[in-house]
Amino acid sequence: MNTVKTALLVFSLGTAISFAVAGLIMVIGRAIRFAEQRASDKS
Amino acid sequence: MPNLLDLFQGVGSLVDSDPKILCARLGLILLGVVLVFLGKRGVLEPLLMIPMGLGMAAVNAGVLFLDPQTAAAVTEQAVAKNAQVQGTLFMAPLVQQTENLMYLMQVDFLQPIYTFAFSNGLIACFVFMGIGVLLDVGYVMARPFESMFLALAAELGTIATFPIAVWFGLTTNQAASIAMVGSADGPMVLFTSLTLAKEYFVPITVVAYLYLGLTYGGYPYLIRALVPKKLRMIRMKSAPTAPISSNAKLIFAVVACTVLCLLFPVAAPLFLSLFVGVAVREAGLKEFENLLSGPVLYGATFLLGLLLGVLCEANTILDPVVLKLLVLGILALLLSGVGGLIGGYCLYFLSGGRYNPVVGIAGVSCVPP
Repeated sequence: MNTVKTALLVFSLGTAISFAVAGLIMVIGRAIRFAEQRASDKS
Repeated sequence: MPNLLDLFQGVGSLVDSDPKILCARLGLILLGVVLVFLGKRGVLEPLLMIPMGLGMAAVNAGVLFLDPQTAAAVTEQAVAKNAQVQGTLFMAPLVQQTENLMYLMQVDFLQPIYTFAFSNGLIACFVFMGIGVLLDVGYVMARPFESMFLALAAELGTIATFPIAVWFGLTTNQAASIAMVGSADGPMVLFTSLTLAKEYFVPITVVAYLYLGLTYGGYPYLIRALVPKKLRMIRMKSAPTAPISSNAKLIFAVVACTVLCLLFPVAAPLFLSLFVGVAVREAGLKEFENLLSGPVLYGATFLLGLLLGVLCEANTILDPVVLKLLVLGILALLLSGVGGLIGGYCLYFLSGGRYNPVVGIAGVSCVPP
């Protein structure tokens, strides 16, 4: 039973971290696109 | 009249062996030949199976009676002058003491590569560098949540196999190592098993690479069994996304590598290896790109296959636990495939029937080399 709980805990943690990383990727992508847009507007 | 069995020591050592070892050696020689055949036919991944199969056959055929000094280095204990210790001139993977290792590196031709490139995970890192160069991170950046969801769903095998492996009687470290086969990522399995369960990393890695080669042949049947033809035929229209520049991908590689290394330093070598490949590709460094995607990747793949085959020596892998690892490995990959398809089905229903569920199985990373 403990190992099932461990597996579920790891899975939940993994899910949370994965979606946090996905969010980070989204934020990074948007920040880069914004910076590129500003650079091209200035030029 | 010289004793023929002393002259042809491969045969002599077979005759002198325990019946179990004799059968194991003959079985592994045959298995090695079959792997080469299946690799040539394309049923299994030839890049790995041909060197692996030949290595397996050669190491089980080329067993001789070691001289006393080499025997003492391999067994790491004093050996009588007339003792008949069997071994090979390929490598001794279980030797730990530095003095014995230094001696064997001058005797066994693959020992330097094993000690300095395989057992410390360097070969796995070289493979990841090559993969990084071949990898386009554009889709992950364009659709991060969708990609992450499918990847998570395809980890069902890893998560579910862990408690089953503990129930089979493995320790938590060993269970985690074999459960990693569900990630379908060869270098990751090698790295994890070297870190968590060094005593079983040989059978775990061999099982993983064998099965990863088989998934190419097996997964289409799983897809046909679980996804009806009507859904398999769905043609997905690619939704327009803003183009992602090389600069953006390069910045992403740098930031992602740094953040992931901060969060998980134990896996930092693999993160660096993957993202340095991505960075080289996106920075347009053609010479490095050719180097990493050519000699480094294929050189590492070749040596990996050869070393894995040579590690399958009867004495090293003859352990009752290997049978459990065989069962758990296939279970992990099967459940990961099922998990990926479940993820595909979730996206199918969430998108109102526009998403082809078969795409979910792409969440299983499946990187044998």
